[in-house]
Amino acid sequence: MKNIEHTIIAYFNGELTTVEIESLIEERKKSAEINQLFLSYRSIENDINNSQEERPSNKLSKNFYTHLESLGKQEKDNTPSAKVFTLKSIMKYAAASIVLFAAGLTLYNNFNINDDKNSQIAFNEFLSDMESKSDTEKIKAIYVNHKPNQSNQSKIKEILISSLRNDKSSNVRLASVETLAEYLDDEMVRSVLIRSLGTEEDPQVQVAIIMALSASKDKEAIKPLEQLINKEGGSKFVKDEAHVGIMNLTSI
Amino acid sequence: MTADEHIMQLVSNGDIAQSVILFEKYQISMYNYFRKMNHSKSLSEDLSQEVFVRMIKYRSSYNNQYKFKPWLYRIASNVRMDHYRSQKIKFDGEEMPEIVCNEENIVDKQIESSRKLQSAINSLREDQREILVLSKLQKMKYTEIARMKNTTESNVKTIVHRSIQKLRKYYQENSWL
Repeated sequence: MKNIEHTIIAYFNGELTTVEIESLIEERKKSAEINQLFLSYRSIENDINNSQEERPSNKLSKNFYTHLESLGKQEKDNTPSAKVFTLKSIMKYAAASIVLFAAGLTLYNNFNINDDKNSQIAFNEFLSDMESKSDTEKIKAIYVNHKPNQSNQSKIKEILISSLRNDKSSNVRLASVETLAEYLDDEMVRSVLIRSLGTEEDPQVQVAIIMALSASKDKEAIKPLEQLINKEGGSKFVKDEAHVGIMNLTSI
Repeated sequence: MTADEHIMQLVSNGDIAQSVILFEKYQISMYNYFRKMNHSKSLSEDLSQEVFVRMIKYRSSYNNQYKFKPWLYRIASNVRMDHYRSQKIKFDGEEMPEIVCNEENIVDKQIESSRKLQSAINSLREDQREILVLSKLQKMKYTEIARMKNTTESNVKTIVHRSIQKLRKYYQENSWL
């Protein structure tokens, strides 16, 4: 019983091979006791997966940006001729953050402009940075300026999809996947991720796509994952991740 | 090298404004790490703030050959230990986190599940609790946790398995299964 208990835990942790999973399924069929044990661990696993993520208050962001600003001032005082970052440069990166934290808790009172205007500023920043030739600017745009609840969200998704399909930088594509993973309730996004699985060649990006699809609970992803596993060549760790993805999608 | 490592390398080279990207990406998960480790809301925010302050302070020690996330969580673990030392408090049963009840979290069943889970997690030993939180809630890989805690992957796996067994035992004792 001790061994089967570890096997069940390993199953929920994504540690079993396909053969071991099939063996576990057989064990469950044969023994009511083992099936009961499995269900009890599944109940805990469900609680873990449904565990609510909390959001910190605006104090955390406010303090962080204040700290950055003071660092900028210190650096400027110490090296007046050097190129140092300023509040303006920080705010360039944090434009979209201000949208979220604007409800009376901005760094300065003069940032208290209305939400629509802030949203438009963030979106403009996003467009501008995504058109940039710099990978860093694009990554910044994706992580900082893509925030949900913006009026131009469908346009943002389009740009992220285009970036995933066409950008030469694997870092930018990776950032696009991680951000698209926030829109898994959109069938089009899931469909794009599934198709990308067949075309993406960078292992890190492949893993990010697999993880997103695994979380999507979209069974349409199972077949492409199997094809990835059966494909000749390719990274072992990507194939292992694909196995885990299939397990997650089949254990719903 | 992934996007995080690339950005942290820029921070390490002196472009500190780039740290905003990492802060925005990780602030919520970092806050939740401290919350699940049984700290109050206010303290979790303070400790999270300290993590990002140290991320900048010790930026030159960052080596982009290593993953950014385990490096950041190692800082978080150290921040927590320093807090314990400064307060001279015991590891276990420090503070009971409140369960949030806001507009996004109004489903009674989910609140109840979260409360049960947190209670069970609190019953674990400190080292087990941290590794379980990192693995199951922060979704870190065994290899990443092993690197962060200077231990082996198999040791991490063993601790995760034992912790989950203990969670089940706790659920059973409370007739939650």
